[in-house]
Amino acid sequence: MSLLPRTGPNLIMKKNKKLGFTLVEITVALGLFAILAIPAYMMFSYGAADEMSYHKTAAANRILESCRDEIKNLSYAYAESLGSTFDTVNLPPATFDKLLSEQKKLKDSSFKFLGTAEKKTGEPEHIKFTLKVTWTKKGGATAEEKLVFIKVK
Amino acid sequence: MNTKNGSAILMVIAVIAVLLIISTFVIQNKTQRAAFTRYMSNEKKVEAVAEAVLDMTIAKIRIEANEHDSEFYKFLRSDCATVNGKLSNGGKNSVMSPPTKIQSIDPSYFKSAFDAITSGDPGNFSDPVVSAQIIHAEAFGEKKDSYEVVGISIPPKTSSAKGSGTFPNSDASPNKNWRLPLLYPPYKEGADNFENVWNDLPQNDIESGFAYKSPDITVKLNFKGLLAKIVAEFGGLDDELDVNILLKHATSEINSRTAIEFGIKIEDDFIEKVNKLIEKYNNAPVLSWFTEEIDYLTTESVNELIKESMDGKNTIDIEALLFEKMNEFDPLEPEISPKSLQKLVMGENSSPEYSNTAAGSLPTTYIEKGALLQLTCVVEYKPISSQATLKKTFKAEIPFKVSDVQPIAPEYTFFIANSALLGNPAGKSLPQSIDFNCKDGGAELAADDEFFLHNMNHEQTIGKEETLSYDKVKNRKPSAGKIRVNGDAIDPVFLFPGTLNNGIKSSELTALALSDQSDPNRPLQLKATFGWYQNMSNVDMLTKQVKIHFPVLRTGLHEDEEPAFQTAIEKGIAGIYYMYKQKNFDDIFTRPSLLYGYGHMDYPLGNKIEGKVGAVVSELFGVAEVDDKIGIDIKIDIGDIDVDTHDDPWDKEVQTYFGIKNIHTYPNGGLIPYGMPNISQYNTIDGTWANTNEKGIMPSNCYSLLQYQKKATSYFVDGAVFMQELADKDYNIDGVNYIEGNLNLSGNHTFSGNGLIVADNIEITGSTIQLADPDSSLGIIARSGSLAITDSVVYAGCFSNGAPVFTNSTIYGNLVMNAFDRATIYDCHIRYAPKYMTVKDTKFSNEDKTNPYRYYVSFAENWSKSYYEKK
Repeated sequence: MSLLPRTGPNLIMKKNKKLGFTLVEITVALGLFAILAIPAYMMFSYGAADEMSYHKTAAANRILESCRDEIKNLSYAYAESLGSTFDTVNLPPATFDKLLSEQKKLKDSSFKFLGTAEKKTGEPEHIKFTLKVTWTKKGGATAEEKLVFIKVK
Repeated sequence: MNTKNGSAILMVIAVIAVLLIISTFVIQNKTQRAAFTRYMSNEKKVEAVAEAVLDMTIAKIRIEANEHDSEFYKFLRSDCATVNGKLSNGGKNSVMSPPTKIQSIDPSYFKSAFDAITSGDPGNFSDPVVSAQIIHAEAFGEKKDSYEVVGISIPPKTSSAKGSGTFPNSDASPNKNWRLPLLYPPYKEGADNFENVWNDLPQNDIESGFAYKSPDITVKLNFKGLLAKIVAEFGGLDDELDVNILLKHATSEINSRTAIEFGIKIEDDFIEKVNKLIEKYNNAPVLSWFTEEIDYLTTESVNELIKESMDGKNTIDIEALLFEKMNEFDPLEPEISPKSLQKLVMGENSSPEYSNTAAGSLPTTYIEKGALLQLTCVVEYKPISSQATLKKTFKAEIPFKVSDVQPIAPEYTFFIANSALLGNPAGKSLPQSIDFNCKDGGAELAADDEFFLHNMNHEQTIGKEETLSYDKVKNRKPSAGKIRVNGDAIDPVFLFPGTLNNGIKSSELTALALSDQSDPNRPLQLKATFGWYQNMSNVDMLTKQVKIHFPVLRTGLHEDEEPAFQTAIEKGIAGIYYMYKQKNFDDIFTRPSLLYGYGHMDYPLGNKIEGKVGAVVSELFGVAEVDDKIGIDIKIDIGDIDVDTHDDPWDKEVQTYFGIKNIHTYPNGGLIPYGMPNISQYNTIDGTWANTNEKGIMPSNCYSLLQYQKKATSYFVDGAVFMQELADKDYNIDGVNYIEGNLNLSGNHTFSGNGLIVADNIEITGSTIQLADPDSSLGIIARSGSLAITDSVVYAGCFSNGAPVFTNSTIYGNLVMNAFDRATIYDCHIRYAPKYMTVKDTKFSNEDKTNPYRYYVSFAENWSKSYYEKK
């Protein structure tokens, strides 16, 4: 056996062999990463969408609560004047402002409002309001939030 | 080297592990978020149910709060005790101990709301559990602690009168403690000179005996039968002889009962002529065969004959006649008998209207309050996708007021408080002397402009269309309002509330009367009126224009019919006497009463007259008018032969003179008590006489301006806004309607509900203010200013702090005021009508503050606070 240090291409070749990954390794690693990263990516992707959905749901609820509070605090005559159905156009003023600000904040103009009022005679007379806010989700589906309350004369 | 092989895989695995951890977190987060979203969604459902349930519940409570049969009616009107027993506490409202009762609420109150919210929900809602509790209460205090409300915080100061007298037993001497001495002045030449009568009035001693001579009266002797033939045959005997009728005081003391003793002094010429006739008779042989001889006449024998003709009496005692009459109908109509009256006055028996008006203590608890009502709703929800039950407890608080809407002093027809306690009106410092007589000027004005108090319950004197006949009214036994005048100075107050305008149950039986109720079908409208008279401090100034306003009997159906009224002056003293003897003068209704005196008076004597009224009594002076209606038949029986009869011995009427004079210190330099017998006075008539700073003699239910502001159900910035809003709610007047500033009412208005209108000054012009239904009541209160009513008819209890100004108007209700000025009353009628100022089912006694029906409940528009109880 020679005690001289090895020089020349063989030495270089040996060093390269020790520091690198084999093609198999890389292939397997990339394969595994691909297999696992895609669902993860999908999950994050959907998570972001859900996050947006939550924001929109919360915004829809804020609009609904604003409308409820406004109707409750305005006169019964005003509540009657809203008619059996009312939409974005004839929303109570503060609720209309709320709707616009939420749309602006979320950069989503798909929010739609629809209210129905069902007058119940008897004592005491009252109106059952069903308020709905809808918006378009990613992919074109429609989401909806609903609030029911009564306004007593 | 081998150990490094596969490290890439390890790295990848590490990365993957990290990714898995992140993914797991994200997944878990998403799951939790989804669950949270569902929870939040469910929670909102539960909250929506709870809020809807309480919204509906309070709405129903609002509706039922003033419905008598509601389970909430009495709950909201629960008694509360103040901490210090007063309405105020150092200028603040006294906080009261709220009732501890928790009122559970029937599901029917909120079912509709519950169904509306929960319908279509896949989950399962349990029935909400709802309850109510008053969690805070405080009184409507006055900023001055000293202000108290009579009948609410302090009892009215009324009589604790009890007595064991036996009125009208003559032995009890009804005139001992209450009386109007009726004296007949001496005749003097020139008797038609009124001043002469006064000048000759006895003061401290009255000579008894035949002291006073009447005008000559011709007695017509109408001989009949055989004697007439004899007289005709023999001749020489005139059938008209002059005799002198002498009036005699029955007793020597002026404070004795009133009586007139008749005596006849026969002139010698008459005796001589008659005796000549008798002599002829006795000497006639034919006649003497059949009869015994006739005794010769003497003055004494003629007097004896007259006495016999008066059933053995030669004294006419007017009071005795009165009581005799009263006793006659006693067994017939027990409720209007003197004995019943005695029981009423003396407290042995009470009429329903005044059953609680005796002095006493009031409950120290209060129904009236500002309070907080807390409603609690517990809702449970079990979502279909979860086993867990969601439970929420929602509490909401709403302020409410319980306000007294009973008009002021509804038991009174007329009440003058005359006290700074109620607040001095602008430009006046009370108390002031009550000038009924306009002595400061305006007497003529007062004379020209009528001011009538109709003290009998108006509703009980009318039928469907018109005033009922006397008999019908009598059968109804109407109640009467009281009259109170808080006098200040020694200032005469002449009140003549007619008995017919006072129910028997509360009438005072004072002696003077005038009524000729001969036609039972005649519309009955006795009107009481204030009298006025000229300055009587100097008798020399008295003239014939001195007026005595007795109650007058309306004789025509309409006021413009002639003759519309009949007065005592028209009838004269003889007329009064005659009236006593009238068949139709047979009950107390036909005996108007005279209330006359100084200072405080509380009338009728359900309580008593109190104060210095005893300082003066009125004396009625007069010369008897002996007219042809006083018939004394003289029958001289001579054996079997009627010697003579006199159907009409008096053929000459004598002019009647009479007047009233005040006696301040008579008879012994002291005061003469005035009131019913054996009933102690409210206070003694010495220095302890209650003055007008006595809280207890203020009108009941009269709150301060600040208190009305505090308890206002509705607060209006001015009268115009009030009228506008009133029109919007169909003139429903429920509650306390407080108007800042003044209110002008014109045009006709019909109000409904039970309410008060409170403002500074109130002016009603050309209006008919009436009520829509029998259950409605109205109080019109010019609390800091004056009430002015012109050309109007008002159905309400009215209050004016300043002197009211009335022109040609009628109030059906009552009139309570602080200041009074007769000169600002230009034709006004106050007709006592408790119906228009009494909340349904209430009695209007002062101590009725515990009656929940007189309180109106009003709620704030919105919840003051609401929250969910933390777990």
